[in-house]
Amino acid sequence: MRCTLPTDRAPPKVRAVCLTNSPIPGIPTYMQWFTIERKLGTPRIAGFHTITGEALAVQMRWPGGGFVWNTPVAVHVQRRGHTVVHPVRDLTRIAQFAVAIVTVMLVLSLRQEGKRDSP
Amino acid sequence: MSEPNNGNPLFTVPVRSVDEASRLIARLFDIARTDAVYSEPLTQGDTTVIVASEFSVGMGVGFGGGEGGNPDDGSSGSGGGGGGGGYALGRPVAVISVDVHGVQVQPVFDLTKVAIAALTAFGAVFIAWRRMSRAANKMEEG
Repeated sequence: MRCTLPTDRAPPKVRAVCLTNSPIPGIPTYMQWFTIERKLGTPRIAGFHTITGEALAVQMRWPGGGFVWNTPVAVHVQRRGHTVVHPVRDLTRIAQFAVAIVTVMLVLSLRQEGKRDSP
Repeated sequence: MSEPNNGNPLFTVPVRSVDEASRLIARLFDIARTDAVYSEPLTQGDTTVIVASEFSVGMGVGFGGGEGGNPDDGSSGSGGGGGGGGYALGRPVAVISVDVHGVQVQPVFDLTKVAIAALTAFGAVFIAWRRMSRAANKMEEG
């Protein structure tokens, strides 16, 4: 499901994916229990460049608590009217996933070996 | 309620009522802002650096109460209590540097985290291999 965010505070280039209930005006706040948003931040000027960060935020709310995960995904660099998007790669997370996948494959292959050896 | 230290920490504020807990949980979602992930630009000479970090925060609180009475002597009593817990995690993911040569996004590699994951994985594979060896030996003996 694709939806839009309230436009009064959000920057112009906002992409939001709201899987269940979304911060759309008109939907009660208590129903917004799970949200995934990908949105741009405030542009910052560094030298001749204007840098705008893009982040992915996952929010879960329940009565008496909640969970938020917010991670950078890309950096939009604007100079002289041209915008270049640099992806932000989380090498640590990629390496952790690689280790996990290799482990699962090793354990599965060991199981297969065990089944093959058994009469 | 005591004042928060330096106006910053989320979890050092004592929570004494459901309303305070609700306000604290509302503050939890402040870090869902995109600007919370990117630091303020730090400039040294011609180079500007912005740190991009990942944040994860979870929290839960609960309150309960009850009352009861003794019909024999007519006495009654009530009680209540509450508890909660939470965690916060933040780590740098990349450093964005801007200088005369342009903009570079340099990833931050946390070797310790990967080494811990690799050691855990090695342990899991070792345990699986050992169980299978034992099972094979038992079959041979049987």
